[in-house]
Amino acid sequence: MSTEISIENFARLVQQHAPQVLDFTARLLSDRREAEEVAQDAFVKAFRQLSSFRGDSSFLTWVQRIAYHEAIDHLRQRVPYTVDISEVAAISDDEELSTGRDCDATLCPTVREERILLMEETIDELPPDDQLLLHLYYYEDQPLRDIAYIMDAEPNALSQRLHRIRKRLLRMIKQKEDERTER
Amino acid sequence: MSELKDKDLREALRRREARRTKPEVPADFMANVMQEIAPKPARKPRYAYIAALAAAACIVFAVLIVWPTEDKQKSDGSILLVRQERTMSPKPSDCESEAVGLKASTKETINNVDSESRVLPAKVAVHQAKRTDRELVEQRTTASASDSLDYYINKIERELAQVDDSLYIERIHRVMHADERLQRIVNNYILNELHRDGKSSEASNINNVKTNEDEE
Repeated sequence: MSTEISIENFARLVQQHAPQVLDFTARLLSDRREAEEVAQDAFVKAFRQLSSFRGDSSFLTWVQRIAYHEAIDHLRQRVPYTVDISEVAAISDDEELSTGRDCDATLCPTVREERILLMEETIDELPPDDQLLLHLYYYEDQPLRDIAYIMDAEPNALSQRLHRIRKRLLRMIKQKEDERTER
Repeated sequence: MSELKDKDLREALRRREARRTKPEVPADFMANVMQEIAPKPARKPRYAYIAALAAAACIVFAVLIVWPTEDKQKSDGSILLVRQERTMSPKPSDCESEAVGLKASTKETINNVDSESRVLPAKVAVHQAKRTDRELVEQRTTASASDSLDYYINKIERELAQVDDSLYIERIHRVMHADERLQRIVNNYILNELHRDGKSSEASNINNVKTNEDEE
């Protein structure tokens, strides 16, 4: 893709990719207006930085990368990102986590259904950044290389991060199941 | 187990996605982006800014033109000295030429002293001498030719006393050259006077002869 692009052509690109970029920013920023602002800023920044776009990725991935950084900056300004140390330690200590029930989900569909529902709830409780990573990898099936490009991280580091998120997710689900059985 | 977990996770994400309402692109989204990236018209020059600059330039120019003579003297004392000498000297052309000669030699002296790393003492001495000269000239508003000559001789003596040995001979030659010119002027003056006296005596002799003839 040539970096010399007219405003009309760029407008076409904006029109084409605006829904995806807005959806992307809305995953990170719960406030809709803030998400719109960030998406707009991402496009404006993309236009100004067109010379730095070398076509290593698709235009959408490149804009998503810009939008990701913009959104993360917004999140950092709003709420400092904190991680519960005790929780992290607990996760790292647990090498093998199970759902707490040794029932095969194929044999116990109700158990599986319950687990999926719990999982849905628990994903919503994860930090927006982790939710986005799960969405891009497990739902959109984007290659880890592209996700690493968007999030400005190494693919190996992202792989480890995904592993940690899954462990954390399972631990949270287990806690919820325990709470429910206690009731 | 892990495959099952993946399936569960994917299923949970799928359901979550189905539940989620996708944000709609607002109508003004495109317009806002285009407004930001559209080339903005070149800013017109601010006339107030230009006017202020012009006013400042005028003030600076006026200050440079109408600055008191004192400041000019500070930057180049010899110029003021020559100007004042012109006004008081009975023979402007002679004095001016002498003054210019002395001014040039003074400048040379300063330059040479500078090059010999004797900048400050020499400069200060010359500057002080010029100041006293100026004061003298200011005091003598009605100076005669002999006063003027005395003044220059004193000045030359003072300058020669301060001149470095390497420049002394050259300065003496200049003085001698100036003296030759002065001698020529004096000789011309004497010749003119003699010529005038001779004519007047001849005329008086002729008049005397005429009156004697009339009497006879």
